[in-house]
Amino acid sequence: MLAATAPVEIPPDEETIIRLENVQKVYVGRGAPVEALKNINLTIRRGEIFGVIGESGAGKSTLIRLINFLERPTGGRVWVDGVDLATLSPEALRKKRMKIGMIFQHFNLLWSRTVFENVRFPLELAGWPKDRAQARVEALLDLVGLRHRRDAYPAQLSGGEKQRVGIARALANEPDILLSDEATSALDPKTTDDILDLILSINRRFGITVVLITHEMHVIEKICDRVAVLDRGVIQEVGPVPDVFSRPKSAVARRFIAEVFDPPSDGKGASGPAEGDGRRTEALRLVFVGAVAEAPIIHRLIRSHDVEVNILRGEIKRLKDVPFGTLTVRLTGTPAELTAARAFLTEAGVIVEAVTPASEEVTDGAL
Amino acid sequence: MHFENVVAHPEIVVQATIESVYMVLLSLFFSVLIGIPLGVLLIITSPGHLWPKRWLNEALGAVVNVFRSVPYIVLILWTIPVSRALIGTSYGTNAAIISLVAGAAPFFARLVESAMREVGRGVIEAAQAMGARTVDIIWKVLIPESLPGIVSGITVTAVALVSYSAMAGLVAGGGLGALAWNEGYNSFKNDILLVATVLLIAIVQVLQWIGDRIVRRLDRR
Repeated sequence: MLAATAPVEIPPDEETIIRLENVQKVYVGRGAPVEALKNINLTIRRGEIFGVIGESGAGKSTLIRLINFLERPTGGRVWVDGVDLATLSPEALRKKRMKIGMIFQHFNLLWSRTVFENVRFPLELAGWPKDRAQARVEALLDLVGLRHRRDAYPAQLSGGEKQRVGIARALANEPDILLSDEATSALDPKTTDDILDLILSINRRFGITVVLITHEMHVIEKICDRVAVLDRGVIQEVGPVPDVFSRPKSAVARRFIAEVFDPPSDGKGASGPAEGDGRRTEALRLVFVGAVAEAPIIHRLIRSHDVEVNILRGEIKRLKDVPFGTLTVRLTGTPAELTAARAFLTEAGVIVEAVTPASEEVTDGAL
Repeated sequence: MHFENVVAHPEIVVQATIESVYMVLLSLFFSVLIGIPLGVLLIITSPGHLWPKRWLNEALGAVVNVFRSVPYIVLILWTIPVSRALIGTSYGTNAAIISLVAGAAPFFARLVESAMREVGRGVIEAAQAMGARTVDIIWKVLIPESLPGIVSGITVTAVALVSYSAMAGLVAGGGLGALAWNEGYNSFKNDILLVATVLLIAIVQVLQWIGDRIVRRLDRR
């Protein structure tokens, strides 16, 4: 259930498409050298959508550019499809890059070319004959829903349309991998969701592996299968999205999750003795992942245990396909009943965390 | 004012105009031919660009700066031996063209360089990510994306060449500059001086008008 924290030695196999092995990147300029990435180990599986989240300056852009060697590592190895990129000749690297599409925050379209010509650009580079390229571009424009804009210039397009052109262009050479460099960061929330839906449908339809970097947890929760949390050049944790959401181990991960969820509670009226009769009150944060989120667990708790349940706040959402809910409750009962209630919840598959007073920190509560 | 001298010898005015246009267009052609590759080299060899080569960048920059810092009238004198070596004479419109190109090509190369600097780092990176070679990026990204800037650079250079060509004509002979000086001012024929001036202004206006129109058609930003 828990994510593997240190994905160090996973042998290369059919499942693995990208593997970073002890990768380090140091920038040497004027002044002290800057270590942008420190000892990165990552394995990305064929066909998954893998997200890397981090604040600006965490090293995300450098990390994603290692996968197509726009940035070369100063230490370690980058394997793509079983090939160590450092061993490729310039010509072989060029061929390899054609199989790795990339989209960008600022789209990076050629403004002197029409939509059609922008999408054709990578095909020109790959030397496609004109008539085949023409048919391919038409199909791509249909795929991203831009057939009617084929003769427009980028300056005449909205942000969402520009990114659709970017996506069509990135897919032109039928890549195995799509790299997304903050592709939705310059878009409004509605357009962001449209673009994310498009990326998800492309991933499902063509089985293209997607690696994306973002600073928005919303992007991770909506389409990613697994996530790595990057902070100051170090991967703090990595695992399936529901696992990281339900049991974040690093402070950075908790901070990102708090962006899209209720903060765990302000701790007010948390645990403590209740009115004198030997009963206690306990504030708990309950996390429901998967089927558990849809089961009437609180109902069962009340029926089987002599505790009062006071719901302070709650939220349920989907992490890609997995239902995911959080509920902050105050339980009141005898210490024995409270212990039994916690055991019941844990048994039912709920992740139980104690809310500590006067702080937003949540301690692991499987006490 | 009466235009008796112009009316008496219209053919010398026509002849001088043809010579001026010839000098401007031909030297513009060679300036562009030299200036674009030179501008491309200046930009791609600069630090952090496609083909960073520090020594080459600095050497080219120095040569360009030398030509640009010598006043044109002095540059004409220095190109006299070059003209003699290349075309056997230092006199006439063809000799003038050599000094015009020497003055205009480095100037235009700098305009090309700065137009290409406007092409975003991101677009170049996107092309690299698609597997573009450096030569692909020059032909398919740098040049087309900076074309409006290059064309307005050509216009600016053409206008400068009109004024340079008047000076070159004085030394080497030919064109409206020489006409204004020899047949006009020195011969006390003010009507010829006036007509030559008006024709020079007209050439500049036409060049500017054509350039602006092309830029407007090309600019899709």
